Amino acid sequence: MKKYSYFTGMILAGLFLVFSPLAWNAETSVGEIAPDFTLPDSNGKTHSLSDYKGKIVVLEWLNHGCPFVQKHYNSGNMQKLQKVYSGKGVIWFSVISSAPGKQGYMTPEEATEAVKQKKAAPAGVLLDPEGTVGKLYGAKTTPHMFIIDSDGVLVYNGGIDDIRSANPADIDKAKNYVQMALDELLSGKEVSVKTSQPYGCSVKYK
Amino acid sequence: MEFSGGSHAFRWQVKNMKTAFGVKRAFPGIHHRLRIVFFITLPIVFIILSGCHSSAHVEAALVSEVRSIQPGQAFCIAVRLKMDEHWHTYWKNPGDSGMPTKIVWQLPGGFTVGEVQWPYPQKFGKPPVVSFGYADELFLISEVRAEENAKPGTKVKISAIVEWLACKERCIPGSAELSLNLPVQDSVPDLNTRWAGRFVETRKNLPREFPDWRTRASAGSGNILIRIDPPPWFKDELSGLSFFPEQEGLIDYSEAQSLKKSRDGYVLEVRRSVLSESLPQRLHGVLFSPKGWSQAGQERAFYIDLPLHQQE
Repeated sequence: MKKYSYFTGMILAGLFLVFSPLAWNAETSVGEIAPDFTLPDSNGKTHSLSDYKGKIVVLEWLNHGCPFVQKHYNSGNMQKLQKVYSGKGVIWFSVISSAPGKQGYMTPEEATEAVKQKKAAPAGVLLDPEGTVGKLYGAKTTPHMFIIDSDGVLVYNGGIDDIRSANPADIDKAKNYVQMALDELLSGKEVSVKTSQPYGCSVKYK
Repeated sequence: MEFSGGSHAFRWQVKNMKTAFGVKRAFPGIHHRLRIVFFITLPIVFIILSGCHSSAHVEAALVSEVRSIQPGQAFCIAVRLKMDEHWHTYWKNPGDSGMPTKIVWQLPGGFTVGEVQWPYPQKFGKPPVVSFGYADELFLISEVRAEENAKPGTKVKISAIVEWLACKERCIPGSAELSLNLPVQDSVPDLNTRWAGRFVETRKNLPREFPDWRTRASAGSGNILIRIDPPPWFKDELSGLSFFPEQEGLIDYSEAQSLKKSRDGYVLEVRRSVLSESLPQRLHGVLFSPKGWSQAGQERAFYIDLPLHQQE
């Protein structure tokens, strides 16, 4: 009997943790404190958002099978941003919320190998196969970009740039919102464009 | 030959196949030997799944409603997209993901073309990612006006570059260069019986205004209310309503839209998106009612374009 209640309790607690963000329907608006989360990266190291208080954090939703992601990786655009801003102290995480068996899902080894292959430079590729953190943030597309300032406030939620296409030729013509927001933050200014329409493939939640 | 005078619709296969085979790119982490196995098995799986169909799930063509054109007169043509089962392309507002189909026209001098007439869309996906688009077969109709001085006896070529995104679980961008030759004649053109029926069917799904229904929109910090007052002839109950906004990032597509009865009619409540920081001056989009908005009960898509008031 006691055993049952223990397990029931665990299951209920687990369900609560998984579904509470949905039940609350708490997609965070810009200007609000970004919700904390804890996820392992592809090397097995665990990261919590709260570990990076005092730093600017970028969350980039990733699926290497998606043509819109390929636009920004095959052109080197995403890697360039990762390198430039990591060099300025920004913590950049790529997040994979694809469920096992769905496009973009990667085992930890595959995700680490993909970083090498693409010459990407994130602080880590966070693995979210349950989609919990994706849904907590309301990540809709790959890519979908979120920026959290050094006070832990969500200051940008939107697309990587303003041209909705899968064509790499559009990158140079586009206004890169992430770059704009990071430059503003790093020079102590307020982010001027706080939201934009994210574009891309749907996040392949389970 | 589909038209008198030797005109015909060309069909082009999808050009952009590269991404469909981007296996190495898509799965860069796979061990070398595994990758070889993958490369051998994948095409086999592909062939089985696709029934030897070589296009990337969408067939595109430019088709005309009429067999000839008259100088100075308007006529309709359409980009026809035929999608494989379970694949879809997108509406002008694609929703949370996807990309609208884009048409760039190339017309002879003096010819003009109107805006694309988008039928009402359907929903794809499930929360938290909900998109708007079309499955099966789509006709994107546009009205073209012929040049006043077009010479009878000659032929004109109308071309379009069409770009779309087709998605099932995964997405493949596609594009095609389409063209259509039509003879210029002095007489009133005959209908092109191959497609004219489909033009008629498609027009039933084009949103239009229904002035006898009174509508009003207001916005609060978290929601938008659309008031809908039925005309006196309407004795039924509204149900199953959906609002498809033309504007991006304004409403949350995953949230249920609730329809409540009010004193004079109905109120449809939709949630604002976290992306909608500032409110637009107007709200425009399509109200879909399965029962239809006309007395005949058929036309289901109601186009609204309303000033968006602040809720008191």
